[in-house]
Amino acid sequence: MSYKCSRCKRDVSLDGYGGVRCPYCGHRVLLKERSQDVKTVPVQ
Amino acid sequence: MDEEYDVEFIEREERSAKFLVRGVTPAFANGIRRAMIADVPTLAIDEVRFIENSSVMFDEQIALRLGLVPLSTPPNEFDEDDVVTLSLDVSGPATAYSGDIVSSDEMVQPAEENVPIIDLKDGQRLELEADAVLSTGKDHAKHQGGVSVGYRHLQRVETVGDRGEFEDVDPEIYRGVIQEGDELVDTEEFDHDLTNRYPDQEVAVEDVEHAFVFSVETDGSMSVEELFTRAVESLDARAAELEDAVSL
Repeated sequence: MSYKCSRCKRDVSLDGYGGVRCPYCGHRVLLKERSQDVKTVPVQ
Repeated sequence: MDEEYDVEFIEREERSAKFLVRGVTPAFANGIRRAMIADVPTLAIDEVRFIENSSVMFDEQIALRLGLVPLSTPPNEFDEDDVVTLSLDVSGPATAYSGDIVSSDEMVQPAEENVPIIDLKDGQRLELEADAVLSTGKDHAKHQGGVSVGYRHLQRVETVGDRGEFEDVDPEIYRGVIQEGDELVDTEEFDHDLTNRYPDQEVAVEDVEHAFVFSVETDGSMSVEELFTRAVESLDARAAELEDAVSL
């Protein structure tokens, strides 16, 4: 799962040990990136 | 009913019309109204494939908005299973309008070009493909060709005497069309108030039997004439179906 740091805008990938924290700037707010897949939505 | 069937237009534009239908029963008039709302098939977006959406709105919200964009539906060109593909690709800063939708079929275009879909800021982008299908208003309101369909009785107005000199005058509001002798008058002409048209006279108002004034507005997918004709055709087809069923 890829994330983007909300402060330094760099791509971050999380492992199980570092916790939720940007390895470059230490910021704790990470934004989840949208998947590259095409999403199909029914109009109802 | 012996009276002859007759249609007379009072107002006639591409998307809206007011017309008088004589020689029909209330049940038949209501049948036509319901058929115009629910039985005439139109094209509408039914599935959206999002390639990119970095706008502030969820895919589902944008899909819902796209579904409500009216699409022109040429008569007798499409069947229930046909699919028309449309696409949209807009990058911010800009507003994505229905006019930005590109259709794979020239006959199918957004009926209105300036329906806003989403306001995109700098760096945001919306790219999608959508499938439009043919269905009826019975299935989903997005397929409703007639958006404002109603009827009223035609009303006959006759003067019955003079009003008393010191009598209080209350407004007499009637909306639609009135009949004065053989002449039809739209109530908009006198601001829907009979006391404006007959300031010093007492009037008697009564419904004209088997005469209905229809007010019809379409979403732009087809003209009023086409909507009305197709509604009557659908009633005719169902009547024939019923006749076949009971004659077995």
